[in-house]
Amino acid sequence: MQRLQNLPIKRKLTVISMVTSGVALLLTCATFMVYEQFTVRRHIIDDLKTTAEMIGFNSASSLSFRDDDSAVLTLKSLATQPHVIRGCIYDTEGKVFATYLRNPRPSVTWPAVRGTNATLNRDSLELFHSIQFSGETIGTVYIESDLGELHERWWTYIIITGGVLLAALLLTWVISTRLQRIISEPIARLAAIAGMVGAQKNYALRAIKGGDDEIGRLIDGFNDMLAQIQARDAELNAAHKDLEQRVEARTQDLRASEERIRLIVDTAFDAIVTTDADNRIIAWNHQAETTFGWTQDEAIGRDFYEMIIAPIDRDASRHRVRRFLDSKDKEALNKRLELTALHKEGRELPVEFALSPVEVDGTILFSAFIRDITEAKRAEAELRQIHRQLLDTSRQAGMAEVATGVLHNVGNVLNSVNVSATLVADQVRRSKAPNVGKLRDLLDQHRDDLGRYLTEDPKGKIIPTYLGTLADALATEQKTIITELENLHKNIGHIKDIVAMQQSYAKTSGVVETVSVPDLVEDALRMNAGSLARHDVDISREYDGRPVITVEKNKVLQIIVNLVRNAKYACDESGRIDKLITLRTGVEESGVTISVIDNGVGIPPENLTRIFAHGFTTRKEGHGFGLHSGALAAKELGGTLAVHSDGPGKGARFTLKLPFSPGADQT
Amino acid sequence: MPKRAQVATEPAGGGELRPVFGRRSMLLVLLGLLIFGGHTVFAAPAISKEYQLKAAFLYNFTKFIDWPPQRFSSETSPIVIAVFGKNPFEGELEKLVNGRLVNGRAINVRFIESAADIPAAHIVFVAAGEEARLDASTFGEAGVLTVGESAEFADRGGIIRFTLVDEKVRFEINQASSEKAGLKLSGQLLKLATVIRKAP
Repeated sequence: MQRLQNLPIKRKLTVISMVTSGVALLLTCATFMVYEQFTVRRHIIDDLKTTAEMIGFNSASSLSFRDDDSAVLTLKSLATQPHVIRGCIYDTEGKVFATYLRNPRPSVTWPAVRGTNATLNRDSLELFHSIQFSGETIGTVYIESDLGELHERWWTYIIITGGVLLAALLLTWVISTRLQRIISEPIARLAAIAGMVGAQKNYALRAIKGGDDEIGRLIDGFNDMLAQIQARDAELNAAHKDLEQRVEARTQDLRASEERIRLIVDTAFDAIVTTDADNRIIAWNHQAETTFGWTQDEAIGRDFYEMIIAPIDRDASRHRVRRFLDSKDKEALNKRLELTALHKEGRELPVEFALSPVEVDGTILFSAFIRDITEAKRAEAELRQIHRQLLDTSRQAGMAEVATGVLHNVGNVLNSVNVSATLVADQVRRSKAPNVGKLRDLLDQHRDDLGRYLTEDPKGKIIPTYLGTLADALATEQKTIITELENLHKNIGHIKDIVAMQQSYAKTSGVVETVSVPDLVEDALRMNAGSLARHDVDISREYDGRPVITVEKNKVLQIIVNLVRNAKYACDESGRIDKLITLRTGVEESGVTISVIDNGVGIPPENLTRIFAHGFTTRKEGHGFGLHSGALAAKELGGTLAVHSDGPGKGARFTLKLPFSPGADQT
Repeated sequence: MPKRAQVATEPAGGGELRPVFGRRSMLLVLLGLLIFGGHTVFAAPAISKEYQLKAAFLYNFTKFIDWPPQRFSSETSPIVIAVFGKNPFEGELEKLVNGRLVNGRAINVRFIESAADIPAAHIVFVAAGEEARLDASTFGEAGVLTVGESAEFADRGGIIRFTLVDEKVRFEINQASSEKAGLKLSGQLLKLATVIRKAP
């Protein structure tokens, strides 16, 4: 079929005509042959029947009069028919009466008699014919013929059919080769024109129309198409020219823009390096050359991480890129990192490193922005040094402050002691005790008549009453003195405490003790008691049980003392009269909380974040060390120090969280 | 006509009943035998093979001979076969022709003793020795086929004489006599016969 398709139309038409008429003829011939086969067979049978009938008739008398010789003679007439193999006559009893054999053989078996019938075997035709004579069946004729005749006729038919077929096909071919031109020639002409148009790209050519049939219309259509193409061509040319101009303009714009970007990249202070998804360097700006010592030519094509990133950071950096490529998760990259980079000379340099993925035409590229922070690091180190010095200074200052505070407190207590002492002295000085002496003198004078004096003398009569009053006054006196003395004792004890605490602060630094939280808070309060009283600050205590923690007691004290002092300042500054500091303890799963809450000036939100920063203070004489060292100390203790404030004027709450024991909660 | 059954079984050959007829036919036959008396069927022919053949020939001659039309009163009037004098066939001849039609005519068998009855017959069989009882005129009777056995019969102008050739029954025909009798003998008959032309 493919071969037929590639044939020229004129051959195709011939082939179609030939095949069509060939098939039709074949069908006709086949039909005729089948029909002829039946006819021939019937003819042969008819012929044989006629022969049998004749023999039957001719042998009627022979049968009637049992003259087999005569019957054999009659049968001999079969010899004229070359295809008859043998024949015989049966009598009425079915016995063979007379026989004929084309080729005589010694022993021949004859089939049993059947009624009139013809049987076509594979290679022979058998016929039985009963002999009717004068209205009676007097015997049967049997003839067997070979199929030579059938085959002869068959072959004749095949030869005739073949001849007719051949002649008809020849005629068809002659006619169709002439007739096909009517169709094929206009198409061939059209094809030739189409070929010319294709080869020369000359759309001005036109095909010449022959008739008004489908081919004529095809030619019209073809010509129309050519005309349209011509028109379209012209338009296209114009459009193409316009497009070229526009492309040229755009290209120039683009070039200018590229130049600008290149300048920006080249003059950037950061090293800008572009890599492909396999981390190969594909762009390397001027600053990169300066920072890393490699020239652009040396850098391009090399593995970025191998060349630039120090081994310590290399794998992690690569892993980030891999994770991004796998997950497309920008979060994997979107970070400014500090890494250690490598200079061409092998020295390491700290850099700030940012990597951003860029998708260009479906390919992922990475732009790395790298800033050499050696200077910044050095500055930072210096700063840290200064900070450390400052911290030492501050610590000394802090200790001084604590000492000051201690002395101050001691002074305050001493004041109370003084007051108590004065009070006792006054009391003693103004004591009614001497009156007892006077009373004794009076009683001495009336020793002889004491009874009478006490009962009869008007003076002596009031003595018992006076004695009672004196006893009451003395008792009151004694009570007052005892109270003051107790106060005195207490204050002295207080001083002793303060001193002891100061001593313990100095001595027991770094020593871990197990203490009760409320005791700790109370100690801190006591250390601040003087100034709190002085500034008229109320203290509210909200203790949740008596949890016990194991801690460096003096460090906690230092933090709380600091917090209380800060709270006091905050209250002072607010200028309000109901100054209140609440101390609250709480128990949590992993530790305890100690909150110092004031109703002072509060903290503006912007300061909340830097309130623990070193050097931050809002006080004129402050050094910004207290909270910073407090936070550091809390951290050293394995805890935290946090702040909360609803804003200026709304007070503040500092919460110190401490684990039950150091190492119990290191997280 | 109870004898039909006999005729039907006769060609099967001397009492041999073969099962080719099928079961139903056989039952019918057996029934017939019961009704019509099977003893006749199995009875062996009482006469010789020769006379059986001769009887058959007599019957068969009717098929090959054309009688003058005036010898029959109608299209269906029977052909009469007469046995003159001695009957050598015993019952065989009657049995043979019984129920048979030749060209639409039945066959009657008569046994005659007088020459006067000859003209009424179409075939007259004269057994050997009986021809002496007939005079010459009888042989020349128009429209009568005379069939005899002896040489004398032939000499006296008989038309067909049975002969024995190699123990086979054959016959000779005196064409002159047959022409004289106004009979037309079929060529088929003539080709089997020894034809003589002899006027008495």
